Order: sequence, then structure tokens, then C-alpha cells
Amino acid sequence: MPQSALFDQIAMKLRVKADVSQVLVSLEEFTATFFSAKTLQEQQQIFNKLPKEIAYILTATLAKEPITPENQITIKRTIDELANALRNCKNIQLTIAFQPDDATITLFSDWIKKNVKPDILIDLQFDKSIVGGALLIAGGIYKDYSVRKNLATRFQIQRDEILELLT
Amino acid sequence: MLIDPLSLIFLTIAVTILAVVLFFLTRAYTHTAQELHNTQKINSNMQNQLAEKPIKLLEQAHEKAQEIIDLANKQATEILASSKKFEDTSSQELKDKLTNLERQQADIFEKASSDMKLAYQNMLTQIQEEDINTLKSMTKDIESDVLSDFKEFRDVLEKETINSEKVAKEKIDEEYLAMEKDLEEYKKQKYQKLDEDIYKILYRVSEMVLNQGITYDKHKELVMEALETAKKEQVFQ
Repeated sequence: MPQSALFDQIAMKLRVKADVSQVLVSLEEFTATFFSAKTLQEQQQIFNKLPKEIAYILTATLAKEPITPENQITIKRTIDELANALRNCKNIQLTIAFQPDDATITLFSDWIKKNVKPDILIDLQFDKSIVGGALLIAGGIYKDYSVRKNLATRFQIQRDEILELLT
Repeated sequence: MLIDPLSLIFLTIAVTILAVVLFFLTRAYTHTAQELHNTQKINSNMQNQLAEKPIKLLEQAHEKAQEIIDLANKQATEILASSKKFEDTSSQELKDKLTNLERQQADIFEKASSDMKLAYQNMLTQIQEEDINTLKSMTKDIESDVLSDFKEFRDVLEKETINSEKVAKEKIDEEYLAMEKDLEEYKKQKYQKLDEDIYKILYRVSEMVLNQGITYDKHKELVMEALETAKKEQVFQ
């Protein structure tokens, strides 16, 4: 499989930045087995810790057959290139006010992959003080779409009206 | 012992000379003593003569003096007698003259006194009249001056009072305006502080209420809205 195709496949399945870290750890762990007496099944088990789809792709690509002196170099090169690509993978920092579940993370990730770019990851942050909505940092641009800001703006604009209501 | 013949000669000569000298000295002494005796004798005679002569002279002098005294007494008595007479005459004359003089003087003094009295009375009258006139004039002047000064003072006082009142009014107005401005500013600041405090409290309460009131689905919806907005605003380009 060409290198970019593997990265694209993996990137499509990655949602948040933390997923990349997990993949990188697994790849390092897998690389470490090259000079040990691990069986193929044991090597494949390393990728099973990852999300199922990613595990399937990595297993199919890197651990389909045992590591031999002949394919070792190729696999190592593939792993290194994939790791580098993943490290350089672009991301959007998304700060939200609640702890999302898996489905919600997938929802956000899918939207970004669909609407922005398939290999974009989410650097998810949690900040309760923003009340709701989100803070976005993408490509060096910061945007505040939080309820806190909306509230402040609304208070600023409608201050007199609010004060009139209070008095 | 042998004596030198030469020395013996000399000795003899010397003794001889001495004897001669002694002889002459004795003679001279005797002569002198004789002369002294004679002189003492003369002296004694002269003393006796001198002792007798003054007494006589004194007696003569006493007699003459007595005579002179008697004469002097006599003349003095005569002079006294004549002088008493003259004194009496002179005294009478002097008394008369003095009386005349006294009378004359009294007349003169009386006249002078009368003149002076008259002159003094005239002068007094004149001075009195002048004083009265001066006093009248002074009274008028004083009255006029006082009235003039009083008028001037009243004008100045009136003017000053009006000016003072005007200045005071202006000052009061200024102070009042400044105070009013300060009060307005203070009120404004206080209101602003109050507004801000209320605003902050309200904002914080809203935050708290919203934070607890937003549902999970609403959170998701808000994030999706945020993403949509970002897309519209081309944040991801």
C-alpha cells in the first residue's frame, strides 16, 4: 500500500489528537518487537488496543505476516513515515464546555472531516467557564463562539434595557 | 746715738721759725682780744642809749595821738550833729518827693491800666467776634464737608455693597454650578458603579444559571452551531 494511502486511511479514522498519540505509542511498541521473539499474534495484539477500524488497517498493513529480515526494513520505513505524517497532522483546537461522549466526538470529527479536510484532527479541550458553544483555533485564527461571549455581548448591547428591567 | 748735724741745723731752724710764728700769733691774738673788748664796750654804750630813746619817743607819740583823737572826736561830733540835721532835712524832702512820685506813678498806672483795660476789652470783643465768625464758618464747613463725605461714603458704600453683592452672587453661582457639576459627576460615578455591580452580578448569575441549565444536547447543538458559523466565516480556509 502506498504510504499516502495508508496515512489517508488512518487519518480518516482518527478523530482527536489523543488518538494520534495512541497510534504512535502502538507503532513504537510494534517496532520494538522486531528484535524480540514475539509471535505474529502477539504483535497483532498491540494494535488491538486501538479503535477497531484503525487496528484493522494497521494489522492488515504492518502485521499481516511475521517480520522477517527481508521485510523488516520496509515495514520500519513505512512505520516511520506514517509516524512522521501523523506527528505533522493538522488539527483544530476545539474548546467546549462539557465532557463529550464517544458518539459526540465522532459527530464533531465527522463534521470537520466532511466540511474542512478528511485528515484534520480535533485537539479537544474542556473549559466550563465558556458556559456553552466553543472556542476555535484553526490555522492560527482564534474564534470565540462561546455562550460566555454571546452573553457578554448581549449584556453590553442590551445593558440599558437590562438595567431598566431591573429597576 | 748720733744726730746728723745737718738735720740738727734744720731742726733748730724749724723750731726757731715755729717760735717766731707762735710769737706773732700771740701778739695778734692779744691785739684782737683788745679790739673785741673795745667793741663790746661801745656796743654796750650804744645799747644803753638806744634803750632810753624809744621810751621818750613813745611817750611823745602817745601824747600826740591823744591830742589827735580828741580832735577827731570833736570834729566827729560836729559832723554827726550837722549830718543829723541834714538827714532830717533830706528825709523830709525825700518823703515829699516819694509821695509826689507815688502819686504820679499811681496816676500813670491808673491811666495805663484804664487804657489797657479798654484795649483788652476791645481786643477781646474783636477776638470773640472773630472766633464766633470762624466757628460759624467752621461749623458750616464741617457740616458741608461731613455732608459731602457722608454722601461720598454712602455712594462708595452703596457701590461697594452692590459690587460685593454682585461678586458674591457670581461666586455663589459659580460655586453652586461647580457643586452641581460635582454632584452630577458623583451621582454619575455612583450610578455607574452601581450599574456595573448590578451588571456583573446579573452577568455572573446568568452565567451560573445557563451553565447549569444547558442540556447535553443543547451543548452539542451549540458546538455544531459554532462550527457552522466558523465555516461561514471561513475560519477553516
